[in-house]
Amino acid sequence: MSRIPLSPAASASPDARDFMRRRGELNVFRLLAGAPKVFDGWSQMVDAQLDSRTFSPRLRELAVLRIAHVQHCAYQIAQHTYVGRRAGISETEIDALSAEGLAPSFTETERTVLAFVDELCTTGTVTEETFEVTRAALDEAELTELLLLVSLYYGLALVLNAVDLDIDHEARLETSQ
Amino acid sequence: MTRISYCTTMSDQVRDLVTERGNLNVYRALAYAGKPFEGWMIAGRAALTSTAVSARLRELVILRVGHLMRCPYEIVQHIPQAEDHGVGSRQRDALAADGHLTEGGFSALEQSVLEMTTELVTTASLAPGTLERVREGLDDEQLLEVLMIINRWSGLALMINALDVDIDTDARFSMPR
Repeated sequence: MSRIPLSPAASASPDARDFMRRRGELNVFRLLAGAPKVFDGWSQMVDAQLDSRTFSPRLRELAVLRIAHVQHCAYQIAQHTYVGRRAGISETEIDALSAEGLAPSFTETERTVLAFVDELCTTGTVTEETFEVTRAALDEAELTELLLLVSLYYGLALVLNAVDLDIDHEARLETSQ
Repeated sequence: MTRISYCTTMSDQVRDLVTERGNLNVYRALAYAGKPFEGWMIAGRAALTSTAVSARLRELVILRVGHLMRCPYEIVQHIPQAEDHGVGSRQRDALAADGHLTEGGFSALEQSVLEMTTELVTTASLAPGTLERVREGLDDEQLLEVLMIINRWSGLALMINALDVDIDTDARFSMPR
């Protein structure tokens, strides 16, 4: 049971309501809309990341699911297992992500990104070697966007775990516009 | 030494945000990400200008997160803001990762918020009682904003650590309006 009560979507600000109309009336958005002074800025950041075409939805969701597992965030796992399936991640691959292992079907770039995410989220940094391998696979725009993605979901997992947010019954994240 | 060169080609919107915030190395390193970076900066402005939580409490939480995430860059850039809000050397020392929070002479509210921050950043979770103690001094909006501060600055620490961003020699953070 969520440790902080959720406001009805209808009582949120017009911008927050518009965001939820586009992205879904998820418990996480209803929760965070309870901090209206920071919600609109935060939701603009989420929009910018979800609308970006720098990564394929599949690569983005592989990274997000791995972060969610490293952070033991049941809420993120539930929502992004759904999004990940829609982005073409197979059941075998989803199982591998939850076991913090690798599936044979992951490409070289996917393995590199997952190893980078694992190391960064578990140790708080990456070695020179890991950085160089990742840098060889991604250009500056991709690398910095990957960092922003890790930053968003790693930090958000802390909020969700702190609040012990209830998993949505039916609401699902809409990632395409 | 920062692991990537600094971005010099920015859209006008991104350049304005970077300039407004003091042209720090961390912003120049992340600016390659374009729109997602712009969204992250906009979210940052909301976090820094919100009046829901006192600036002093915000800076205490940021410094504690910086220490727990082993991110000297965050600490160096935020010490001046903390000092502006009355945080002295005894309290600075108490906020160190191996420091003793109880020796900082913090108020009961500050102490409970810093204990929550420590538990959340180090275990990625919270015992129910930890949140309840904080709620004795903060309403739901304030509690959510504190959690969002932990979110943002723990995620930022990962980005700074991954890029090993050099501490700025002269540039100083400037508060957005």
